[in-house]
Amino acid sequence: MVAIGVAGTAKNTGKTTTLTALLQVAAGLGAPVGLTSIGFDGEDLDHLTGLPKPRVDVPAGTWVATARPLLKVGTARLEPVSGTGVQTAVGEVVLARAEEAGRVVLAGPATAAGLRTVLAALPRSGLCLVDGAFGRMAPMLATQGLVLATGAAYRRQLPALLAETAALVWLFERPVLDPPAGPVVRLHGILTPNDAKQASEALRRFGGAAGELRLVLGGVVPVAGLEILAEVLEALPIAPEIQFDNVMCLALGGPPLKVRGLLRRLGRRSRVGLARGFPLLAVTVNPFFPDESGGKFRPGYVDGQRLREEMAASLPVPVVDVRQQDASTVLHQVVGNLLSMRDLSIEGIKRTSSYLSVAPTHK
Amino acid sequence: MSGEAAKRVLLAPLDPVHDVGLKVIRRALEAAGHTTILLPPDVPPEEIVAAALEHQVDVVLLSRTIGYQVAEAAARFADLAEAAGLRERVRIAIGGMAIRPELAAEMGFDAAFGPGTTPEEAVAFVEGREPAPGEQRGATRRRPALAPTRTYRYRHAEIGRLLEEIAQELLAWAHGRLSPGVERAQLRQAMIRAARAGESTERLRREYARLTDGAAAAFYARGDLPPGLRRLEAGELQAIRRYAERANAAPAGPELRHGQDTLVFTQYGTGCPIHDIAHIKVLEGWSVDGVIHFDPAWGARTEGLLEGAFTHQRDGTVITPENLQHIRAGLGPYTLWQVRAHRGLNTAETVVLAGEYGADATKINIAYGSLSGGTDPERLAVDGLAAMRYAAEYRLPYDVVTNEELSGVPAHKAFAGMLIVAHVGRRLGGTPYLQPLFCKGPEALIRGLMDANHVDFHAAKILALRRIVDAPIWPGAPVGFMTHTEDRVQSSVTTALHAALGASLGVEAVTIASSDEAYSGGPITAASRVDTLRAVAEALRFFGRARIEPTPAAESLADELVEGIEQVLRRVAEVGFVRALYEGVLGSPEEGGHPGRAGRGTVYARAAR
Repeated sequence: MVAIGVAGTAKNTGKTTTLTALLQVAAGLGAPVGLTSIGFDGEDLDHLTGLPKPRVDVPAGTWVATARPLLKVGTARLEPVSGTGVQTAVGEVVLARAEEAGRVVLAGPATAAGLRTVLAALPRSGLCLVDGAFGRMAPMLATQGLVLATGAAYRRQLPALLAETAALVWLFERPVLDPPAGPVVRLHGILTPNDAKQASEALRRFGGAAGELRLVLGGVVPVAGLEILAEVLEALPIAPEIQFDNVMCLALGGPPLKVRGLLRRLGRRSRVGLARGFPLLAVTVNPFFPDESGGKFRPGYVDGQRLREEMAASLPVPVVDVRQQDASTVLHQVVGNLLSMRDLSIEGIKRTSSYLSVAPTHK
Repeated sequence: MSGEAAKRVLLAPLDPVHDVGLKVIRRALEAAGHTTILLPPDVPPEEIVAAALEHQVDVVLLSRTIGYQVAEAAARFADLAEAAGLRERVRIAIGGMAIRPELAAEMGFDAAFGPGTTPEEAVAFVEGREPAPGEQRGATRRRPALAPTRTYRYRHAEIGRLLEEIAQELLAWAHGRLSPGVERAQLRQAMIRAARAGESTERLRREYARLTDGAAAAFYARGDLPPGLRRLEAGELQAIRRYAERANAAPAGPELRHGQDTLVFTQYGTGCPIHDIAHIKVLEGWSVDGVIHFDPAWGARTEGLLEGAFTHQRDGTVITPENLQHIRAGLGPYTLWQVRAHRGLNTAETVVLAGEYGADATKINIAYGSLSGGTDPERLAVDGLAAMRYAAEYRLPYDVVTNEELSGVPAHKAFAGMLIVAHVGRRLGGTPYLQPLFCKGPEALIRGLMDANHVDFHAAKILALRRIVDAPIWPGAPVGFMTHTEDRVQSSVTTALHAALGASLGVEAVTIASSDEAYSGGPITAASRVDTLRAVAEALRFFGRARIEPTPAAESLADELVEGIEQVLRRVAEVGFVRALYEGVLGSPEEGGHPGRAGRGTVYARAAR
């Protein structure tokens, strides 16, 4: 199945609401629909705040990948079809088919490798939606594209929310570099300040002209390491190209504004880009935030209309408030964008002109 | 642990201060041959990931008490570990007071170690296997045994001699005497065995019906049910059976005892076998050792037991062959089951049912059933002796209660009656447990025996009994009774302290009540049961094998008790046991010992029928 991930900038930013809206769209495609999560979802009350959570309801025929002990927890009648061998803290992930519509509780693969295994076990044709958890994104690399949920639970103040979200989206937009033509210095794992200094020494030994040398950074690049890296590279006589494996290397590095600032600083001397892109299909916005007072949580809201309008004005991707009436249309476009951008075909989907006529909004 | 199988484990507290849990786990991991690296508290997730990469570990164990922001930090660690490539070969788990598997899954961890996790469970996770039996919390539970190691030898020779004299007199008196209750017991045993052999029970049942009265007679004659009672439907019984099966498949709960040998019993008797099973499942969930069936008071005053599965009874769950079988089927594998038969006109038959349907214990007492339980002394002496013979036949231990104290009968008199019944029980080949009250009874209140503390009087009872005979002791019933108030915390605490005192004094078992038992004004709630069990577990954990030291006053009270018991027994030996019951030797009407009337005049000579 082609998979779309729904990740959030934080907990309570509207991932599940986005997921259920996408689920409705997917159900109208006429192709098999799959559903899983990289965390745990579908419970009545939030584990931490105790506030009610949105339900995850599936129509009959939906493929559900969840931990075996949860098959009978919801109201949907799930018939297990096969195990996957992928373990979670709740039990093994099994593939099941909803024989009757109803609510499901999801606990799916926690890692990208696990998610790939689960996706491979699903029917070849169709669309699978993958729910996120907290602000976790890394396993979503196993999907073909991401819908990002953000909102007041991430940053309460609108200017800060807009700025951080815009910076995060900017990271997704980094260009993909061609394969390296010259020598490469490669780092893996997590970039520590010490690693940054050692990389600088290695680059210095190579010497050479700008554009011939490339620093390839796999793994995570925290801002502490990135700051040192910027510092030591500025002291080098040459300016190597800097390539990050994927957007997660950057997105998980720290506050997006700070990461963007450091990348721009690096970009003043070097070409900076990614080894492979990862499409950000849309951003959904949620005015809700858990308002804590005296250890208790109550629902709080910022101005939803303003949030949506200003977010849409500042981002180069579709912005949706999934509770609004036009959300379904936009989400249809999102699916169409994924198909046209990645030249993916979803077997069984009626490829109507409406899907193909939507121009990619990625810039 | 071979070198190849040994793992490298990084332990990291996300907590700014606490790392005790991880240190305990580290000790277990190192003892199992694994290499550990313990990071100091409050290291950022990025540095933990860096350390895991640097040390090339196989497993990362994090600990943290979860709050809103902390969960985000833990989830961030999982994400960083994934993006850094760590998750391709490293498994991660998180532990802490608020950690549950669902939360661990949401945060992206492979396993959760919540409260009560044993270090061995963490070792099993590191080694990539399921915890072995005995490694999980509660998994070490085994079915306890009611098989006392006591010798029943008398340390007080004169009391032993007097008891033997009284027993011989009682057995001689009872020889050839019969009652409808004894005959029904024989018929019930015959009916059960005939049914099992596939034979007709019709004739036996007709004969049985002739020996009934009141509600039982109406039932056998016309099928009438006592007010309020209704039959359970097949669907209801099927549902509770499924529920019990699911509950029995769940892991054992937390340990109740902390190395003590004292078994903890509590009672059920909601009036409905289905609710009883649900209550028993709660009790089992908190690892009670045994449960006690409470039946309605009218069952003791009616000749005959009903047949069928019935619910909606008040004041206990009606004893029928079917009700007992359904409850037995719902019991968990670890749970001991006592079916009381101590006070009424169906005493002997109840022991037959208990024995036939797999009970582990019963309760028999001629003295209490006569003087405070409402049954005629002569009748209960005949039925009680038959019941003790059945108990011996079925190898059912039984406790011999001294509830006379609750009526105001002084302890030395109540104990004398208890010792007589227990001695006769031994003569008949049985295994009686002595059951002194551990409560604030009228004697203690009137004489101020518990003004200084609640330890001395109880300790004196145990000391006195131990000076007399080496017999198993099972205080009750329940311990702490009459010390409860409407305050569930207070009631739980006082129950727990009494249970701990019993354990400290080395008794074989205690019976406890739920925290709302005395003041519920209606059904006992599951929450109150958990209150008491949790409190008892904490008290037993607190004292462990430490001992509570009674003051010298306990010795003095014990001397007084032994002396009083001897005097009472001397008098009983003079007049005979049954006459002693009528004449107030074992508790006078002024003291609250009223000879019961139910079944009066129903004893006849064997040849008379």
